[in-house]
Amino acid sequence: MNAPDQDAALMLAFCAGDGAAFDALFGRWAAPLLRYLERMLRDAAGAEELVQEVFLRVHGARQRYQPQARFSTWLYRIATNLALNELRRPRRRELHTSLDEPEGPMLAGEGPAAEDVLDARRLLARVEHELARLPERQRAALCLSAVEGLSYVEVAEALEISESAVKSLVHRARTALVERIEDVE
Amino acid sequence: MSDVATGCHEFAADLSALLDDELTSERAAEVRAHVAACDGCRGRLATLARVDAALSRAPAPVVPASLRARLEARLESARESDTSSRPPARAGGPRRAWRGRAAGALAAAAAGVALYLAVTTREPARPEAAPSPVQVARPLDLGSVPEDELGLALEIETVEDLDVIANLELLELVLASDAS
Repeated sequence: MNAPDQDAALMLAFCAGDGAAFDALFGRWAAPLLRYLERMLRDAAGAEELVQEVFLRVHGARQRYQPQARFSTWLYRIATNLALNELRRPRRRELHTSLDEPEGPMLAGEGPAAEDVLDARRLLARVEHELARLPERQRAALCLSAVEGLSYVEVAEALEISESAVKSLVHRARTALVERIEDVE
Repeated sequence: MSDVATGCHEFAADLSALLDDELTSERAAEVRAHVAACDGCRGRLATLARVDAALSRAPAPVVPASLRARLEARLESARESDTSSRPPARAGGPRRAWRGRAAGALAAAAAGVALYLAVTTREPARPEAAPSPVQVARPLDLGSVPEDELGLALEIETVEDLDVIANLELLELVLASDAS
């Protein structure tokens, strides 16, 4: 850990018996985890369940927690493993492949008029739709990097893969997203 | 300046890493120089950035107030489960009394099993029916076991308790059958 990790300090305080530190961690991380898990699962209720699971594991780790990585990296690793397990369940797979195709313009072209056509909300709907169709690990790598702000090193730790593999996953994810969106234009 | 015709492929994979600020300063400078000279890569970089911006501008989800309460309920449930699965203290009191009752129940059950086996061995074998664990069990000879050791042997829960109950039911069935 390079910069001071406030979350790790909170976790250590919780390990020492400070229940308020656990509440603080929940307050800081419930929303980012919910955002990440909603994108992974495309299911708000399922994402809420997994947020609970993540914090149950955090709570259960209070006897053995060692701040070897950033707290956020550890948290996202738990969340990712839970999400990937959930996505492997057959019922989830069916739900995931039955998403409706959103309507609307895709990415704006390069011309000046195209910027006017761009509707941010519809673009977001399209991006979210295509994001959901990406392979799970590509989706996880892109979300963690581009949205949640983890470095490639941290994403590598969260996904338990190499840094070069993360670079490749993120590149392929972005490329696939853009090409699919442009194809529909 | 980069050769645009042959350089795009070389730079394509690094456009994404440039957005993520994951290139060395030297490599980032090379990629920027290429992008400045290449309309195609400039357009691609702008598109990639637009996708990222769309994702980042998405409204943050609102954490339902009930989520914390549901988590607390599950933590409480886990704590209760943890407490109830912990074995009680071994010495003295009610535990001793339970041992005595269990020893009596087990002795009765063993007698029942012995009686049952005596009855079933007179009947022809039924090859189509697989023998149940109870049917192949041998009767216990409790007469030679000191009471204290019997008590220690019964210092067990759940599975053994169920066996005692099952044997008692078996005894009732055998006795009913014998009476008829």
